[in-house]
Amino acid sequence: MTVAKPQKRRSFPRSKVCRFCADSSLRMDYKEPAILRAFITERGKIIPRRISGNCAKHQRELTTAIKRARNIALLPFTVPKR
Amino acid sequence: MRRYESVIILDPEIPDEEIQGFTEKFTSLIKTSGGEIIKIEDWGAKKLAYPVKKRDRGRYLLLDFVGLPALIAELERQFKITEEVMKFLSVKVADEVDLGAFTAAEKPEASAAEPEPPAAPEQATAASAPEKLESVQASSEPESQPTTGDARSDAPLISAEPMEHGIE
Repeated sequence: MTVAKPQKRRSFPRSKVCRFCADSSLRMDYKEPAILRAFITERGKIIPRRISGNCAKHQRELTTAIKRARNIALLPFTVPKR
Repeated sequence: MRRYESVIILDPEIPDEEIQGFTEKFTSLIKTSGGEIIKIEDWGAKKLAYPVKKRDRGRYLLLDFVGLPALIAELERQFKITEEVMKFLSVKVADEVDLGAFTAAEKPEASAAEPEPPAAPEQATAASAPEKLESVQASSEPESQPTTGDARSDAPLISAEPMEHGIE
């Protein structure tokens, strides 16, 4: 049991670096849904920081950007199940 | 003076001449209250992420301007009255902007952005559904932020794998 757990974790490596910190040319903007789409799930939810690896500052900015984009129908609030 | 950005979604069926009328109406509104337009962008008709007023498509217009806070209240009141405006969003971009800097330096930029828009929506309606979004975006990209072009193209690649696993 104790052996299995770390192995399981190793199976899905995640990027630990915040992509916005690593690449300064990557700017988030509520008018650019193409960038924001990388940070929402298929169902339209915002991907948590723990998974996306974003730093706190950028995650906060990202959240407001996504919420603004939702407001002007560039991103969905929800994606209904087919 | 503060710098604001307003994105408005108009009824996609209204002709270009009327769009011109709307931009003039809002421009004069901003100018009479002592503000100044920095630029107006027409993103053309785009597919909406969800239906708004029972429509799947909308014509996007971006107004970038400088003005006093009271202007926003009046502008939004006008957006609400105007039936063709389906949705709008106003965002404050910067506090304490010097109006003089924009009226002198940014004027040529504003006039350069205006003649372009009418071409974009025409292309969009001709192309098929998935291509539509991209063609409109592609046409608006070079003028807005040419530097982010590379970053955007690799964006989906990085995100796809680790995230799906993580959700499980």
